[in-house]
Amino acid sequence: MPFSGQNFKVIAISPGIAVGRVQPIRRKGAPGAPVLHEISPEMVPAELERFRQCVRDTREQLIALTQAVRTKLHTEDAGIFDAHLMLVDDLSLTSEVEKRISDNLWPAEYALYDTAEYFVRVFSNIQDEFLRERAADIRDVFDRLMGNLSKQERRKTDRDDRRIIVANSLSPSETVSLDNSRILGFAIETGSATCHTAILARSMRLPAVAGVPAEVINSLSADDKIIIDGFSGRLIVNPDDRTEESYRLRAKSAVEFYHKLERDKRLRPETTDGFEIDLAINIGSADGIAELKRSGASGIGLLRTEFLFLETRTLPDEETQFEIYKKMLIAAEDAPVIVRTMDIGGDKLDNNIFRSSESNPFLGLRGIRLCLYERRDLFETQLRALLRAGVYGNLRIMFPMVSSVLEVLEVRRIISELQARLAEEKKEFLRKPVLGVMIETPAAALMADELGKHVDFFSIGTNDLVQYTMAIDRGNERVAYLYKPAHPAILKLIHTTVAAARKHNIYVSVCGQMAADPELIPLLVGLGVNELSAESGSLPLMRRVIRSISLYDAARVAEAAMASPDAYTSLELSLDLLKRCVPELFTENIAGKERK
Amino acid sequence: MTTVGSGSKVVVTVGNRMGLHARPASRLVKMLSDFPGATVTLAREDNPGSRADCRSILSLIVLAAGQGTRLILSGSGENAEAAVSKIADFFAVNFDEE
Repeated sequence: MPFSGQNFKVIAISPGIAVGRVQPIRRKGAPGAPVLHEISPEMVPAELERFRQCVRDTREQLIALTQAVRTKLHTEDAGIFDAHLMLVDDLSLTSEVEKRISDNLWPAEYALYDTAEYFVRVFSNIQDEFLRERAADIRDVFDRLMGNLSKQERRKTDRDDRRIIVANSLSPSETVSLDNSRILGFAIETGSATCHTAILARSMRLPAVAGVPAEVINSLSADDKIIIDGFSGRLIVNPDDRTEESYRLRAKSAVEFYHKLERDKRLRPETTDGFEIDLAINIGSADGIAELKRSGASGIGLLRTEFLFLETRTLPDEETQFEIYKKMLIAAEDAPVIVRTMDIGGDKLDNNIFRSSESNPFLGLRGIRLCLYERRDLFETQLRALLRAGVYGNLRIMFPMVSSVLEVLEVRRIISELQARLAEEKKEFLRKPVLGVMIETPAAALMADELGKHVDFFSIGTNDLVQYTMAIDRGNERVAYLYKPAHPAILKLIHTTVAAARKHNIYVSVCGQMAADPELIPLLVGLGVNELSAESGSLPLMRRVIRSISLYDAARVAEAAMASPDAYTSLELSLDLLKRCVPELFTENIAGKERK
Repeated sequence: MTTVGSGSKVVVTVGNRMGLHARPASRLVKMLSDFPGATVTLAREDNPGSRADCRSILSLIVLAAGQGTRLILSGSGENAEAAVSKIADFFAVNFDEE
């Protein structure tokens, strides 16, 4: 292992420290060649059968996917799985693999790997840019085959120990499919504090780091031990005993500090001068509702409904959705539950299901745009289910990616229509649903005064607001240094939003990653937001920060920060306040970590 | 698209932006299931050795036929002319893509 003993500066994306062995997850582009060893001729039939079984499993998965997708989506989107199915069935593929097993005496993994490499090589020589991109289809199929093959393998060699997941990147569906009880933490190459791996890691209270150099990721094997420090952003490969011991001690002290904070969960989240900030939680699945009581939150600030589509791999009908929402609202008792209607597009979906051909999906038909202009059928089904379930609790409905008042008016018109139909059908439904919009485009923030006339609340989605304001792709680590929520431009947009909300007497929540960052909370409190919503694991620290500062001080800091020339200066102002009021953040190495 | 020649051998041109990628290739393979007795191949005009069996999606994709590529479409066997003309038509409508 060429990097033994080396200490790398990486990006901290979920707090905590983990020390443990590596579980490498290799996929696209990673040189994850399986071990090549010759098999005895007697083993050939068994290896052939393993490969054929994996082809059968893959076929079944693809058929299920095709059917799930075809019933509800464009036939065009389902067509891609037809193509994948055909690739799996393609004789030249299977015969190439089988030939390598029988003639070369290779194990199935290596035979498949070598065949994949052959075709990938052919593709990398393609001049045409579009076609080269479409070669992804072949890679998808090989990945799927390899995944099914290694699943068989994994069952055989299961080892019952917890490991640190190491990967170039993890898609939302891959992250969800990992076995939580086996994970100590995450170390990934591509990602940021707002990527799905980070969000998931925080909700599982596992440390995570991103920005790990590809050559380190690719050279780590299951025998290597690493330390990841999700407070200060460090990754150490095969540490010496002294380093390991000191990190184990720090991990323990950090865990103790978090436990201490957790005991405060019944204390009101109010500033020292008596202003209460509602603390709510973001959840991404129906089970998340259990976190409500455990965290002492006042409500659900964001329920992402994309899980409905991801986990079941089908699009649930109105009755199914109705039952899910109803159960959740009843479980939440009277606590407010903000449900965000499906936010598909951008990075929000498994490409295998909603394969968009947009060259820039973040600026494409996502969120409310997709709902209004292309998938109104799905949108109406979801709204009907929500309107009906709403009578069972304190439901608030929120729409993502709004950039114009016209969109809100159109949504209102659709809702009136649906209500009229529900009345005809003599069904129970919400007569006056509480409706809000996400403020996540600069346009929405600047037009908040107009939007405020038509909605009951705003929820600022800072992850996208920062991305769209600073014109940076959140997933691109090369511009990650520009991802600065403390930038005065962002603060001014939040200020404009809060001012409009005050004028129309509606409330403002912040549900992005910014709300969970202790270093930025003084700015948000000072700007006058009513609610902060974050993954439940972040709440104890947020509560501590809020209870340690005064609104008076925070407002002065926010005002000065807005007038400051850059993000560093404004962040310094916030840190100065924190050093005075919450010094334990710094002694525990939680705040004040190096920021470029 | 352009069609040159006659009988069961024509030259077709890839007209859509994305080229002959997995989706149109799969539709092409499907079309041939109506012609079980025909053998239909596609080869790049600039590299006639690159012959793809139109029943194998993989070999079609490996042709790497991007927008503007000229391909020799030839058929033999039972109903070969009908099969060739059906596939030529599919090229003519740019695989129903832009």
